[in-house]
Amino acid sequence: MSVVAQAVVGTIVTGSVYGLVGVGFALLFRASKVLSFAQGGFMLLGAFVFYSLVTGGRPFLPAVLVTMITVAAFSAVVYVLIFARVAAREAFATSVATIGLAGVLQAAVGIRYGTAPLSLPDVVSTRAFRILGAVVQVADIVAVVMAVTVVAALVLILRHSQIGLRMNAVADNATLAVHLGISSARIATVAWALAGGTAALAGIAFSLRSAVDPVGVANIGLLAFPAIILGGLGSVGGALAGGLLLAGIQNAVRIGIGAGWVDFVSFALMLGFLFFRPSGLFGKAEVVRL
Amino acid sequence: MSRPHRATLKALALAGAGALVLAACGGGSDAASGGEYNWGINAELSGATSAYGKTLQQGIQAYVDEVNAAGGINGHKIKLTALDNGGEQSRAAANTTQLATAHRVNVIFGNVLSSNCSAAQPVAVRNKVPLACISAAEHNPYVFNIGPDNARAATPLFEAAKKVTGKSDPKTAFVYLNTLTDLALAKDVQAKAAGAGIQLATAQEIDLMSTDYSSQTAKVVAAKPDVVLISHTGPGLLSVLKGVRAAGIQAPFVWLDGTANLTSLASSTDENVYAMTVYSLVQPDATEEGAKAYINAVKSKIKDSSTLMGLNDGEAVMGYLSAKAYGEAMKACGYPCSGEQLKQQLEKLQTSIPGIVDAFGYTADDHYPFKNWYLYNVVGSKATLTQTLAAGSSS
Repeated sequence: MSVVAQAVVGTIVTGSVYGLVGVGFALLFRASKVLSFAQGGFMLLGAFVFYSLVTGGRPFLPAVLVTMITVAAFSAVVYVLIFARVAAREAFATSVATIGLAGVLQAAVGIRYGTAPLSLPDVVSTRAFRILGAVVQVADIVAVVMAVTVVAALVLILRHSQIGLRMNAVADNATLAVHLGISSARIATVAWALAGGTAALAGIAFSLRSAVDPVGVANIGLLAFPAIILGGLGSVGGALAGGLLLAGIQNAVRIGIGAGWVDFVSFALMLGFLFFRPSGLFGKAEVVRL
Repeated sequence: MSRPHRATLKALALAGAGALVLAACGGGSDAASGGEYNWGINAELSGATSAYGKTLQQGIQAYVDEVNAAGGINGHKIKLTALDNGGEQSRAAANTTQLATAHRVNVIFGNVLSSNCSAAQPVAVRNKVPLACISAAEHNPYVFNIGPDNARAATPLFEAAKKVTGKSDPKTAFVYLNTLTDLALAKDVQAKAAGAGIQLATAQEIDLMSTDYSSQTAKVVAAKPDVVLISHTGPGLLSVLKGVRAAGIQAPFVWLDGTANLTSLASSTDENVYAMTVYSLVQPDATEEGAKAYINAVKSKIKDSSTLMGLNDGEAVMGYLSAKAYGEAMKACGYPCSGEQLKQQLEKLQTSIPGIVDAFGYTADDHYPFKNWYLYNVVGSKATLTQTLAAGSSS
C-alpha cells in the first residue's frame, strides 16, 4: 500500500463527500442567494434515516432512495412552511435563519437517536480492490459514484430541462425572471428539495466509511464551506471540483506538514479566496452596472 | 426610637451579620440547606459531547435515587442539581460559581472535557469545593479524577499488546487523537516503548476534526504491525480498522478507553478487536452485588438496560460508581459536610464495588482512583474479559 496512492484515493472519496454537500449550497445560492448553514443538519438527518432503514432490514438501494426522497421532501416542506416567509424579506435573514434550522435538526436527531456514534451493519460489500498501490473499498466507490451521478444529473437538468433553465434564469437575474413569469418561490422549493436530497446522500456516503457520527457529520458540514468557496458559490460542477481540490490540499498538508495544520490551511485558503477571488475557481463574477 | 424597636433592630442586625458570616464561609457547606446534602453536576448535557454528559448524569441520578429511597446518607437525602455547560469553558466556569454559591453544593461532578475541568478549577479552589472530573489535564488539590487517565496508559497498552499477540516484542503501530491527555500518552509511548520491548513501527496522530484518515491508515498498513494500539473515538477506530482490514492486515486492534464509545462496535463482526476500560463491563446477567445494584438502579433510566451495550453506554457506569464512592466518603464525613471536609475524606477513601471495580480510592498525593485497566475482546455486542492490567503511572 503506497501512502501517496492511498492519499489520492482518500482525496477522491472525501472530495466527493464535500462535493455532495457543496452542490446543495450551490443550488440554494443560485436560487435565492442564500448561504445555507442547514446542509450539515440535513446530512445528519439523512445519515440517521438511512441508519433506521438499514438496521430495520431494508436493502441498501431502497434505503438510499427512501432516505433521499424523505429528506428532500422534508427540506421542501420546511422551505414552504417557514423559509418562504423569511425569504420574502431578504437573503441575509434567510441565511441567518438556516443557523436556527441547523440547530433544530441537530437537536431533533439527538432526541430521537441520541448523540453517540452508531455503527452501521455491512450494507455494502466489505471487499476491497488494489489499484496502483492503493486499497479501494466498495464504500469508497459508492461515495464517488453517488457524487459523480448527482453532479452529472444536476448539470444535465440545469442545461437541458425546463426547470433547469428556469433555475438558471433566476440565478442570473431573479427580478427579470419573475417579470418573465417564472415563480421564484417554486424554483426555490425545487432547490431546497434537491439540496436536502444531496445532503442526505452525503450523510450516507460519509457514514459508510466509518459510523453514523454526529461530530464527523458536523465537521464535514463545516469543511464544505472552504470547498464551495474554492469551487465557486454558485457552481454545481465547481462544488465537486472545490471539494476534490480541498481534500487534496488537506491530504498534502497531512503528509507534508502534519495533521495539526489541516484546519488552519483549509480555512486560511478560504479567507484567501474570499479576499482575492470571491467568485472561486468556477463561479461567475457578478458585474454590477452603475 | 423606643427600646423595643432598638432591640428588634439589634436582633435583625445580628441575624444579618450571622447570615453574612455563613455566606462568607463559602460554598461547600450544606448546613443551611435544610437537612440535605447538596450535590452538583456541571456537565456537557448538550452539544457534540452530550452523549457522555447525559449518561454520566443518568448514572449519578441512579445512585442518588437509590440512596434517597433507602433514607439517604447519615439520615440525610441528597439533593442533586444539574447544570449544562454545553461543552463551553465559559459556561463550565459560570456553572461552577452558581453551584458553589447559589446551590451551596459540596461536590461537583462532570466535565467530560478536560478543558472544561480546567476552566472550573479556579472557581472550585476559591470556594473549596471538590471537582470530580471525568477528564482532567492538570493536577489540582480540589480536582479528583473519576474517568480514565490516558496519560497513564502507556505501560498497560504495552502489556495488552503482548497479551493479544502472544509475543514479547510485538511490532506495534500506534494511532492517537490530538487531545492534551492523548498527546501526553503519545510522548510516553514513544519514550517507553523500546524499554518495554515494544518495536514501535509508527505513531500516527489524527485530528478530532479530521474527515479523511487515509494517509495515516496507509502508514499503519505500510508498517505491517503485529498489533495496532489506538486511542480515538468510535468512528475514528472504525475508519482505521476498515482501512487496515481492507488492505489485508489482520493484526489485533487494542482500543484504549473504548468503552465510552462501545456502541460503535455494536455491528462489528471483527474478532480481533479489544477494548480497554478502567472498570469491569457490567454484564446483563451479573451476579456480583455491586453490578446487580447498578442494574437495578439504572434499569428505569437508560434505554436498552437489558443488553451489555445499553448498560455500559457512555459514562453511565462511571457516574454511578463514582457517586457511590463519594457517597461512602460523605458517610464518613458526617453531617453537615463542607467541601473542604469532603476533600479530606476523599483523600482517605479506599473502596470497591464488586462486579464494577476491585479498587477505587484516592490519596492526598494522587487524585486518580483507578488501580486497573480491564482488557476485553469485543465482538458485536459481546465482550469477554481477556486480562486485568495494573493501571500504570503518569510520567
